Amino acid sequence: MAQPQPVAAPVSDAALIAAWQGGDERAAAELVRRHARALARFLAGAGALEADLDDLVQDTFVRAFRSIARFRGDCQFRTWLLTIGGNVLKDAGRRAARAKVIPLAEDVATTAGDPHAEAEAGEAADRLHDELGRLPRMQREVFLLRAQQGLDYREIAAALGTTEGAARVHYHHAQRRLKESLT
Amino acid sequence: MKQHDIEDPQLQELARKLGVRAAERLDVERTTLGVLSQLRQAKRQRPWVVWTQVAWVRAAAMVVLLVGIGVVLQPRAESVRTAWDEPPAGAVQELSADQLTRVLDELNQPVDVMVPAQEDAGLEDLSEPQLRALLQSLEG
Repeated sequence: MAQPQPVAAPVSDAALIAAWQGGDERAAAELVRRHARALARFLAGAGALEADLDDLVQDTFVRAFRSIARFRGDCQFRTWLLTIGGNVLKDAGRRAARAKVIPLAEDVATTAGDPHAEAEAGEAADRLHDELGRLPRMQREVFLLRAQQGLDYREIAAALGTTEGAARVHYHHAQRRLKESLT
Repeated sequence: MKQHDIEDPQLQELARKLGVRAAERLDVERTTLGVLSQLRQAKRQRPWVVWTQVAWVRAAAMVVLLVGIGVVLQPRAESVRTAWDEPPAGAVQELSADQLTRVLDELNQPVDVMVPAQEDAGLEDLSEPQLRALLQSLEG
């Protein structure tokens, strides 16, 4: 997937974060451009409706920038951002449940809202999407961070506040259940 | 390789495609502007929010202080009120002769009440030597 190119010469995320903390809005904008699509993929994979993606991505970035002081650099900024995205999605799901809207997990199969896109999506992908929505949150996030985002277990464990071994076990359980749903 | 490390290629491929189309349709520039707008709005609101929070904290501290002062002073006020209503025993020295007599009369009251109880004792309750001694005393 083509990522939008940074405006300036390659500047590290850490440098952009420092610049944002110093009040540079352009640094915040650059961080959004760098990571918005990856975050959107993660949220869509985790069950977000496409219609809600923009709001969820914005909320995630705003929450991340407000609490940037808590980012200790144990993992990459993107990984930390994805975990915040998971929290934002969970909160949105709770609000939707309180508003008696159709629960997120049950609505995952109709996420695209575009009949042509739906038709294009393979049956296996749909089943995977459905089953991901039924997984416990930890298993779902570990699976997505590993299989979709390509992160290693050390990085995943640091971001989710768990151990590498626990992350492997969560991945293993998620993979087993997802494979069963595909066969 | 551990069992947990075994990964299914088909599953991996499907997972990599998850959300790709939706992410590609995201208008990143619009999202960026939205984020910056929210951050600016939060920045504008922050002084007011901070002032409000400080005001609430001060009001709460004042209430706690007042309640604390009340709790500390209440027992003292009680003791002062009690001391006012009931003078201590030392104050007896300051009573006039008439007042002292009245107090002593009141203190003697129970003793007087007890006397009739002793007089109510019948002659039949006395032993023979006691009766004899009583008669001798009456005869003089």
